[in-house]
Amino acid sequence: MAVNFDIECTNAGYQPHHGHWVLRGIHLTAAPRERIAVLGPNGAGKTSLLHMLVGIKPIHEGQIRVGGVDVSQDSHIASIRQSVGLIFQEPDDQLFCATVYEDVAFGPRQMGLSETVVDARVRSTLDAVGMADQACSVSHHLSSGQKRRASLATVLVMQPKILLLDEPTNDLDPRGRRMLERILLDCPQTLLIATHDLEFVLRVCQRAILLDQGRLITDGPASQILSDARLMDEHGLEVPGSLRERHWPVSSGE
Amino acid sequence: MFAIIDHYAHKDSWLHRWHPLAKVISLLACVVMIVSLRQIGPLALALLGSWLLALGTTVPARAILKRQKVALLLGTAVLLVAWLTGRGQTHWQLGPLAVPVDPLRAAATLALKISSVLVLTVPLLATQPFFVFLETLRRLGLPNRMVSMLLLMSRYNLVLADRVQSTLRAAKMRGLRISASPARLRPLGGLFGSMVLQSLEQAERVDQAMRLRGFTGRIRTSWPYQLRPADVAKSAAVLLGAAILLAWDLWR
Repeated sequence: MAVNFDIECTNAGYQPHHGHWVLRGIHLTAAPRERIAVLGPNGAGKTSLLHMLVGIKPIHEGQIRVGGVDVSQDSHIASIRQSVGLIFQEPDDQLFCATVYEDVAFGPRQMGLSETVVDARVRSTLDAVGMADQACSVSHHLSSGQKRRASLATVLVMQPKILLLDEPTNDLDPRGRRMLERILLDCPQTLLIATHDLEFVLRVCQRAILLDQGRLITDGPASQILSDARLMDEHGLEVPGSLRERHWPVSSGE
Repeated sequence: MFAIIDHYAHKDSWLHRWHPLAKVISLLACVVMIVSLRQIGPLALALLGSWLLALGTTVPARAILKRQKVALLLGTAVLLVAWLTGRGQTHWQLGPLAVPVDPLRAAATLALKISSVLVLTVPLLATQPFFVFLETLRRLGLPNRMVSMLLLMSRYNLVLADRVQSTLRAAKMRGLRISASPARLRPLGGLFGSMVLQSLEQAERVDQAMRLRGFTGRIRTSWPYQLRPADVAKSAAVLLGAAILLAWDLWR
């Protein structure tokens, strides 16, 4: 029986300005509701991969299909962007309106929804991310954690099928991170999360892919990849503390 | 200018309830009339009227007063130039300080005009969500591109100000001294150059974020407003007041 994948990358590559390949030979599939971590050292191509999936960056080789639709065709971009939500690394890039409400309402209004529907969607989304009491707040005055949740709301409100998150735990304190974990675990969407926060990956993602120098190194269960000390070390990463403690319990001293 | 945007939009006053299109047209017409005034008397009354309108918005008087600084500064600058150049017939003297009367009038006129216009921006900007203000301007014929630019300016001037502040602080920690000497100004030029580049990159990312959320060149906003007789009456009253001042100024 054929499986319908939300994301299908076949030998995908990205080569800006005909220079070196930032990404090359990427094969990746994501089934509906899968939560996949995209791991790798700085410059591995994690952000570029997410940007290729929504058509921000062009595909110079191979093919990417999102929801069965070819991303490389310009005529498909509008429909793809309705079904895929990208959360940028820097919330200030995502929050461009003066207030949280206006920012969250921006997408649904651009979709041409009626104001009653927009209002209902905005309120329920702000409630889901714990920002209902901040609707009238000026975006610039929010804390980092609140900005992060507000930028998540700006994308969730469009009810995408797939969520792409770029370094979502940056600037978050432990409480903010726990809250984000809860929100993402409740999300019915397919998630692709590019991050360096490996403890976060262990708690949220079932599967991980490891990129290095634009190549896909491995793809498998997150806990298995993260506990492979040699693999992690070879690609500039470390086994998360919680997995290390499990294998080598810290001595109590005496 | 941007500090009052969206802070008081959710409050309630007769100015908040005024139809945005009628309000913006009336207040912009008032601005044009105030700028055309030449006499101190009508200008003083225009300032008083502007204050009455601004106080009706529920914006605290302290926030409105902040807007007067620019007017005072410009007025003082004109006065200072007049005093130093010493032209005109001296009528006003306090000890060694002699101020020619014509430049004094020019300075007062300038200060009153700027004050009135700045105070009028309070009811113009603070009594509806900024999105609604932008949609009003678009309905009045402002191109979509300008509307988008105004939206982004209102949001990113604060981000940019923060960035300038933190970059300067970091540079000072590493020994930057700001002075007029060319050698010391050079690193400052480099800093601002890199900030311009950062801003360009951010502008690109914001553009991507907007397009990903369906932006195709026109910002859509809610417009649940209907013109009622009360809106027309408010516009008529405000415009009549401004017209009386203009007539007084012309025939005085």
